[in-house]
Amino acid sequence: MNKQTGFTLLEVLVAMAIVGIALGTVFGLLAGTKRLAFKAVDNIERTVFLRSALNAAQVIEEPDYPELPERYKKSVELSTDEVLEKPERQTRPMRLALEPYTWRDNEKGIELTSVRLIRLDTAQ
Amino acid sequence: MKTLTNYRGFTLLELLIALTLSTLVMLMLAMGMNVVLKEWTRSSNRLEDSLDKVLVLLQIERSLEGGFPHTYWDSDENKKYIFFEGEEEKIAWVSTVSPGRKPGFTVWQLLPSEKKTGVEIRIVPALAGDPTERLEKHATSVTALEGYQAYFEYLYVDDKFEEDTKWLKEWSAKELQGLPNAVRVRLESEAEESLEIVAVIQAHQHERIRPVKP
Repeated sequence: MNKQTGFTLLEVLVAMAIVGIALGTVFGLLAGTKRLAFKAVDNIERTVFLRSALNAAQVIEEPDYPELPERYKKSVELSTDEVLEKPERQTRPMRLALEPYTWRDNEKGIELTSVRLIRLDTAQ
Repeated sequence: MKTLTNYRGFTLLELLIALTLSTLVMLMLAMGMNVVLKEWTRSSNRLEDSLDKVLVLLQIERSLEGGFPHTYWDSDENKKYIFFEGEEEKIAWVSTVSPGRKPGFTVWQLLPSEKKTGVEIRIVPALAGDPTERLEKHATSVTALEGYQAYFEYLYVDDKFEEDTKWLKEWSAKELQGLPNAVRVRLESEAEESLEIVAVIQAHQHERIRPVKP
């Protein structure tokens, strides 16, 4: 009867730690996939919206259209760059120029850039 | 005999307890794994669904961008009309884009699905006559974007008077004799966030028929 000893505290702790790590990994994985999927879906939806804004800016210079959905209103902005250089060989002055423009979603860092034709005030 | 008692094995009770305990641990792990797997499939399904949705949206956008002022002959009135019928909840137009890259023009129609919630897409080749009737009878029909209801707006751009540029709720090419500069599709759903497409139609003017200001 004397010889019958239980587990030592150390052994119990080690066992619990191992079980804990195993369970923790499993649930960590769960949370990870869920977060990742939600993030991906959100990014996709934002890109869809940004793309439609990009297209709208093709025809309207500064689309205050559409009533921007509330959740995008604060984070989305339009910026334009300098118009592109004129073609090397030009036979007459032009009133049209190509202007690069970018829609940026500041919250997620998504950026979509395109080029559009704009009308200049003076022919060049 | 003494040596035997020293090397005795586990008792039945000990063995049972050990087995039960290990079974319990295994069960817990398996259940955890099950939950994880279920959640995993749910998330990846969600992701796949939204990728599918985006593909449909892109196809609709592309076919709207390929919109073309296709004319048909109205034999009753003996007049030529451009085909593009845009309403608040449905739209029909002729496009140079077809799903199978078939040659020739294709008539597209988007309308709310009758059987289930979603957007019904109808496609039929564009021929010389008024396509409205053929859209009803002979069109290939697909229902996509389940749970969504589509609303359409049509952009009129006025080059001379900027303040007249506006989004309209309806656009009939029969009256306006041209296509809108852009179409906006708003997809509303009760369960999910709304989505939208804006498609710019480059070929919005017929080469001879002059448009009417809305």
